[in-house]
Amino acid sequence: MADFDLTSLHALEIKTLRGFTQAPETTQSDADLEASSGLEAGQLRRAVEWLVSKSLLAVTSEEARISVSLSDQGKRFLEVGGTPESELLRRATEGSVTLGDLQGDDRFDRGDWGSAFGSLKKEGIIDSDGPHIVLKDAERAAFHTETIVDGLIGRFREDPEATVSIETFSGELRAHIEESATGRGKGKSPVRLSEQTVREYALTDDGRETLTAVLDQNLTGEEVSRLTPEMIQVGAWKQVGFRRYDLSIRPPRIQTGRHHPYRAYLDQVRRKLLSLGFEEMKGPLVETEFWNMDALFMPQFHAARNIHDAYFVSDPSESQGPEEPHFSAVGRAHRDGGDTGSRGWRYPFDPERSRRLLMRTQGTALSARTLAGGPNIPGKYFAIARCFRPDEIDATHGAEFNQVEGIVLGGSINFQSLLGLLKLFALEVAEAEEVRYVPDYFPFTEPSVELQAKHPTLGWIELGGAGLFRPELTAPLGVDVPVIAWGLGVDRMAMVSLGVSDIRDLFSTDLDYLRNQK
Amino acid sequence: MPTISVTKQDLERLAGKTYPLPELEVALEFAKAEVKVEGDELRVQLKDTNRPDLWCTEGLGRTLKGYREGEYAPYPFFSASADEDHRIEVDPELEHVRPFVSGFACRNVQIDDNALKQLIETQERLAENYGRGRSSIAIGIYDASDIVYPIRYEAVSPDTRFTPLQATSEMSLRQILTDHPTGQTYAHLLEGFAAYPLLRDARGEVLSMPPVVNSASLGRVEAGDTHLFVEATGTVLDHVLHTMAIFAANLADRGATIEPVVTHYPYDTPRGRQIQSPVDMAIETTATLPQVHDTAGTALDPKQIETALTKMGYRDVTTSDESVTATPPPYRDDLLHPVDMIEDIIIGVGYETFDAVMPRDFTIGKAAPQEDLSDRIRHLLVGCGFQELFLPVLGSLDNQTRRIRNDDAPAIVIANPMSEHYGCARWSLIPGLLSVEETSRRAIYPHRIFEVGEVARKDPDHAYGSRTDVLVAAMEASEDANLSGIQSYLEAIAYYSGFEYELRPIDHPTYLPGRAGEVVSNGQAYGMIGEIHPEVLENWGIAVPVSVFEVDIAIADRA
Repeated sequence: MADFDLTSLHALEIKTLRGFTQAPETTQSDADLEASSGLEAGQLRRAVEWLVSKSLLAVTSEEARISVSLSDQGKRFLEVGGTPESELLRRATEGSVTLGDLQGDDRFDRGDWGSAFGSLKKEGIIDSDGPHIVLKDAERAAFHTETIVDGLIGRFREDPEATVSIETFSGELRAHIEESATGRGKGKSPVRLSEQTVREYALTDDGRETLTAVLDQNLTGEEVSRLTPEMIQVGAWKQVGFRRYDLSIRPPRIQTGRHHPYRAYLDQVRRKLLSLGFEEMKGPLVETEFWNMDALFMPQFHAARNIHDAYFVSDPSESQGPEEPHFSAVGRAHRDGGDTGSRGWRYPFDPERSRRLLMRTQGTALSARTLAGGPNIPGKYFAIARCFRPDEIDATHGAEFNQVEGIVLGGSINFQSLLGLLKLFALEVAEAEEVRYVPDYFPFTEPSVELQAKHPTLGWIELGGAGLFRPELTAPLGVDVPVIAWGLGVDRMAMVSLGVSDIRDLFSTDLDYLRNQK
Repeated sequence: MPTISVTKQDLERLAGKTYPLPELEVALEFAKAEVKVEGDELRVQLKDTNRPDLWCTEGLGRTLKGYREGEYAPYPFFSASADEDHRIEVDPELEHVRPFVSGFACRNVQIDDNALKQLIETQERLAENYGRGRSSIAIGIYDASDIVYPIRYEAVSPDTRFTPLQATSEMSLRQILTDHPTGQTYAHLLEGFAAYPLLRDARGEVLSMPPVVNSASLGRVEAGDTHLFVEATGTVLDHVLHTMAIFAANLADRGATIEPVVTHYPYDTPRGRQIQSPVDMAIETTATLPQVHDTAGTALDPKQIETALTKMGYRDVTTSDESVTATPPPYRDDLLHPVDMIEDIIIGVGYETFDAVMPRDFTIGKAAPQEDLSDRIRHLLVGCGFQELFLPVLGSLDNQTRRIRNDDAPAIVIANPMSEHYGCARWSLIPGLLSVEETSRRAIYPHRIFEVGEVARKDPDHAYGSRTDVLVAAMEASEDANLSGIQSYLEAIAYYSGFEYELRPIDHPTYLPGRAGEVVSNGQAYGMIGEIHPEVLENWGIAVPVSVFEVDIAIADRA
């Protein structure tokens, strides 16, 4: 208990505890505590409830009490110094008086005088003699003129708001109070009865310990909850203490502005490639078959060029171009190899087909454009390209995906530097420790390598691939040094890194999902 | 990438060795094949689309064995001469319909269930993948015992009748294309021709109607047959011949004696008017040693090169101080350039024996200018409390037009969408953002979302008929969303990016009248801002006001 967190105590609780400072072992009633803590009844009630629920305060006794207080009517009687009955009897003893005379006395309503006359007459204390009121029973009259006025109303002379236990009244008055206050008597009652539970409290052991701590730390419950600009301006902060916070209570998480997790992953890959000396390439989403395939030496009859493997564009349907001299040189390489040392694909190359438009199916289209555009030699290039293929949509295939791919060119490029580049990617981009290289096939590279990396739980996974561009591809685009073409399966790498199991979640439209995704 | 079904036992019998699965997976890597187990069968995916000889159990088995043992069985039938009567005679009419046919016979083959299954699978795989849905190659297999030579490859009237497989009575060729299930599938290949190809034997018995269907009489092969005739027809001569070379090697591997057949053409072909099949497709290839070493990145000694090529099935391998010369196996037609042979040398030596040499050239990293711009704007909007989105480029045409009340949008339309959900490329980012609102009605408001991304738009002034732009779109959806609220964020971008702009009032169907403007800078419109029209909100089932701006990031390009 010694480590009870005082910061969880409310200011009202501190003040209530401090009410026991003088005599920690004694019991106190609500009224005692009101006095000792200086709290109002309502504040005290709340504080006591909290302290009891924290087991710092215990209820030692509890009893129900009926108490008496003045009604509005009674307070009026107190002001007047009598009741209609006592005034009527007083006037009647002083001399001849009629009800009419009395009703001219505006200290009471006409009705009050009337009902006083009626009830006294019924009790047989007075009678009427024509219009005149005659006193008949002086002894019983004294109950109204003395007992009630002094013994009941008079008890409240000091404090008209006081409540007085019914036990303190004489039997005669008690009967009268009960009769009139519960509505059995006639007329408006000067008093009200109320039932109250009266409790007494004592500190528990924990409570006493807490009190000691409160006193040790000089907590008064007067600590301020907010530091306001005014306090700073007038220097009032120097005079006050500040309420200590309970740091175990956590506020709700704010909806922050935030980068998309997958986009952020791609940013990281991009930064890494920039830092490794790669230059970024950009290109159109809608490509010609020329740049997407012809320029990559994929024959026009190649399986990946049929209607099931690319999204073709119907509107607009065709482009101008492609530009010379690349157009003719690429066509020749397809037909018979041209002067590339190849026999070519040996088929009638169709220039019309080259102009057809499709949604880019591979980022390699950007590499072809870069080669044709006069690249730096030596040079390293990359692109993060959205690509499109009509796959059946499922957890691992989308209609579109992102490809990180590029080229490295220069006189020193060969198969061994290709392996080195892949190793560099595995270490730097994918942060994989162990890699292996497996023969692979791409229509535009020879030789071709698949890069596999060892994942701690998934085993060997494919990270990407690379190869040396075929001479039939580079020569027609005007490049005469070896070129590595490489690509990384970045969607899959991102899924592993972000813990996403469905590729569609990488492009989610669910705001709650995005807000909650780590 | 073709995928084939293989029975492991059958493969192991042909390979001459039993392989535990993990060992098989690694053993097949050099053939660029990936193995998956599916029930009793292996599903093998062949990555090399230029090696149809590997798309069958026989091809994989032969390669496993040859690679392991370092030698391959010879196929003498490629140089045998054909019997005089083993011939196919071609109708001159076919030159412009389906000009090429090639075939061979085989005897003493034990066609068991495995072999039959493989024959059919190979037939389908080659005709579908290599033959592009039977258009450039179609293959027929027949019980040869009833065939009388010479076989005639003719162009006949569509009214000619025979009984095809899966039919009980004679049908006309025309009827087959309209009523027969296989006929319906391949009818488009004969569209527009007045005469159709037909293969008949010397007696006039129909073998098949290429490239559609075999006859029910001669064109039926069953387990237990020992004498087959195999043919291919097509539009590319070398592909037709290559297909026959693969089939001949496959059947020889299963013990068959191959009998060549000569096709006699009445017209010229790239290989003359008389072509014997099967024909050795391979051509001798020479690579200089500097070529080999420069490509490999390390010096390989001639002995290593010879061993590697032999393992890969090459014949007549000779090396000198300057060069290496070799001929690939007779069923390979994929070598276009010496680099193809050099790759086989490197695979034969083994990828694992080469060093990974880190690139050493000094190059300077450089971001694309529009990506730098994008980044600046993205960071600003995240700082403004917006959630970034990353949405698909493909979407439905309805979302990109009608649902935003803009039927005239310059959307790029896809000719062959998989479904209407991918019917066009986005021309605007706004429909994507609205679709997020559509699915996120339960997410606590306010919603502040944005995307910076590429869109493609029709543009007749552009050489390619379209252009790709990078846009930024930011959207607020909340009880209090309005134009000036969203504009305050545009103000922030303009301030920090250092551009001036003004709003030119515009009535646009996507926005509430009187509450939309074009974003204009230096006299050029870069985008729009406004409060989304309530009818658009209804279209997307959005129950709170939405304000948005969308501008081309080029507005922020100070360069």
